[in-house]
Amino acid sequence: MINITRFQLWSALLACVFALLFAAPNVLPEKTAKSLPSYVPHQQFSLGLDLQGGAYLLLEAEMKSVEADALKTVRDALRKSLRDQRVRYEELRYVPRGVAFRAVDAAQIDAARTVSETVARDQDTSTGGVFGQRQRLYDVRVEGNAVTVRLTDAGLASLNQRVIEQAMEILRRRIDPEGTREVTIQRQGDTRVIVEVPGVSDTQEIRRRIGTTAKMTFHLPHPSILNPTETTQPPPGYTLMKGAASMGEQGWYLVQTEAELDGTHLTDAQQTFQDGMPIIQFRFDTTGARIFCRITQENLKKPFAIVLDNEVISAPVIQSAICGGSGIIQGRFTVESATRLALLLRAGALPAKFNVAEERTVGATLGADAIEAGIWASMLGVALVAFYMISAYGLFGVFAIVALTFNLIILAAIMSALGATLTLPGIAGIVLSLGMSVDANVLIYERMREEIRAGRTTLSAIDAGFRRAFTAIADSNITSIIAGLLLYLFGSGPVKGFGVTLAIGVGASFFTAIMLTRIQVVYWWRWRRPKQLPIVRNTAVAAGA
Amino acid sequence: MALAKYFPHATKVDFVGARFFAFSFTALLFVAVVVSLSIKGLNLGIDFEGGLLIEAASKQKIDIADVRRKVGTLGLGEVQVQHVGGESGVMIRAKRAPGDESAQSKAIDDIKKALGPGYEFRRQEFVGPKVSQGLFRDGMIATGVALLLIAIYVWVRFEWQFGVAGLVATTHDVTMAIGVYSITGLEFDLTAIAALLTLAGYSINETIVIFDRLRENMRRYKKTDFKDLINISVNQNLFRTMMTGGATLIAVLPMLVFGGESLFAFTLAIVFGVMIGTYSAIYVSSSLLIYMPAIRKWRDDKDEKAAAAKAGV
Repeated sequence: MINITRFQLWSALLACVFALLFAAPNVLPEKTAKSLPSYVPHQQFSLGLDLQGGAYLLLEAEMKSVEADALKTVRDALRKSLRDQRVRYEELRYVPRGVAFRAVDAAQIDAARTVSETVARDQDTSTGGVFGQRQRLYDVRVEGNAVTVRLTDAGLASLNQRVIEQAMEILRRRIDPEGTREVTIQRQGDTRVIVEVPGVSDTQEIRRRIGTTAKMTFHLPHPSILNPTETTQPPPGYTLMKGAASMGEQGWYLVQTEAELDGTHLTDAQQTFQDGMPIIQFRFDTTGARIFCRITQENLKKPFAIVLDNEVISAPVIQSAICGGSGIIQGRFTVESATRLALLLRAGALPAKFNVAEERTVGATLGADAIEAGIWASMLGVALVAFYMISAYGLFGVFAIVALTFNLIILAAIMSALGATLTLPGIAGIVLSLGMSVDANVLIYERMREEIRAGRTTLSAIDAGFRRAFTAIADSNITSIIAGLLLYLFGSGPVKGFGVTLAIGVGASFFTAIMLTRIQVVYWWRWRRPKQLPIVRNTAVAAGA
Repeated sequence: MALAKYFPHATKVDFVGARFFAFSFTALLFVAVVVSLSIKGLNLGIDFEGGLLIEAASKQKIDIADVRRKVGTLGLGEVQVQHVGGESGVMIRAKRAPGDESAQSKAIDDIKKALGPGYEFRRQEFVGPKVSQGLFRDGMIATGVALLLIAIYVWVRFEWQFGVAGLVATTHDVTMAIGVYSITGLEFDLTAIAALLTLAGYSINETIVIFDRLRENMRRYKKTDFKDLINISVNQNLFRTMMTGGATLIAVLPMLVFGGESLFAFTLAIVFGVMIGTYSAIYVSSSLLIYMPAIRKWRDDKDEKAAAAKAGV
């Protein structure tokens, strides 16, 4: 352990220089750090929401509706294709996780199967990526005259995955339309999404933006029943819809269940004014524009219901054919509600409804207080430990504190390079890893004392101290890293951050205790050739212990 | 320079002989923990119980009774109101409001409205029942898996007897720490799990260092009585055990005093944990080895040679 090769020395020094470089941006003001050229390390570690202030929301998707929507699509497609292919069918209905029907004519069963296969195939998804494979969502089964199209387990899983992925994109567009906030959106498990918005302490606006699916559809009202009531029995093919109270609409509407057009064809929506009233102006894509043109031509002077999440927000009378691809929505909007609705329409409809399952908000001042308290407490902790070590081990204590300082620098460097998040428990983790890295030095020095007492020379005591302490240090550090990893795997939010900090801190302490302390002690010995080590008490020597 | 001597050196304490005292002490503590857990239980935070929490601060002194009256009219069921961080801060905690998720958000908004102006909202949290159950389950799994993995690691590096003794000692420490939460009524939340896992790591760390020395001594003094070997090993390491415990404590203590409200429970658990961990490493884990089947002789010094070879890279 007293032979330090040139390679070891240089790689250790190089590691320290790199650590310094990577840790340095953290002491710079944020602006300066951001303006650094890209070839020098400029990443600072990010502060957790508990330190920075901000909102954390855990959203849970209502997946039941996803399955129902998907099956509805399949049913509608089946009905249309069977009609187009002139396959006579009966009892087209939902079965658990699927759609089933019977072919009336046994001779047409093959045609029915082909139609069903085609419909099922149309629903397939690609797994994405260069090597993306098409993945089958549905299974077609024929028994006698009965045909069942059923969602497979894998199909349901991939459907859910697709929904969550789409939703994450749409949530981002809704929460951060300008793309300027550092919003973090990530999946958790199969049905959950975590949204983190730094710097926000009131979640009301965020909740409003994510609480609606914002599915816009255009429906034709019933030609004769124009003023239905809550108790009106809708005729087949029609649905009774409520006026959107939030948009100031009252009463009931009887509209065709089948939408003529939906919001997926929207390319843009903006809040603007007409006669001093806030309105929403929107644009369709080419397909949408063509359909809209046809509807308006065919239904001149008739009302047309604009429906948002199954509530009628407005039912204007079509004044003229609109074929330019753009239109307006008038309603009893306020500027605020119109602006939000325009934003939601632009961002697109969420493929499922999301509920807030967990919400945590930390005000910016609480975060700032926490940082300040954490920093003062850590600095005081470091100072106390430094005093303790130096008073107990003299010069070797100084060596230990140098190693400890680099331990902190390496920790900061690794966390910055990984973009890891520093949380309040994380600061506690740093302080704790200070205690543990001191442990390595204590083990080594105590061992040296013992070896000196056993009558060894200084050099051989140094050698034995490092060698014999090594296994104990390695074993104890690995168990701490196990605990840290589990915290990372099972913890959430701040606790995850604590796990990362603890594991990195302990790992770094292993390096600094074994390499840095050793280099210092060995080179000091070579320089001074001491007859006695500074950790040996004079009194103890006098007593002959 | 005269070096400070914080702890006695070269001690010859009969720790193994004192094991009956130690075991009785441990048993007593254990009974206290069990009694407290069954009577008081744990003060589960909203992480694990679900519900909502608001922390607000005001420029003036806050009248708790007044806040309680204002919030009481909202129909949120049982509501806890208490000062936090001095008399100008207040924490309001309520069970889950009846209704779906949006009712929770509304309840938070209602409470804010009921308090009126003049408050700065420092923290607001809502945890739904499904999430809280999941968090509790994950926390328990994490603690259990950590204990097991650590025991398995010790088993692999040493012998199974050491693994069992380490597992018992670590479980002992974690149980005691849970007891601290129960007896003091400190909120048991996610950070508490972090504290438990941390001290599991710390406790096994202490134990392993002594085991490591014991293994070395078993190889060196093949004829010495096992009880004496344990005593020798614990005593040889005593100074180091105390030094490290002391260093960790003085590193964490400022956090306890100045770290603020949010870290108080966490650091308190760590402080207790370090003390319990040190105690169990000295008195419990090694003495347990006496009650295990004899440990077979170590295969030469293969392990040590391998370790030395690795160390000398």
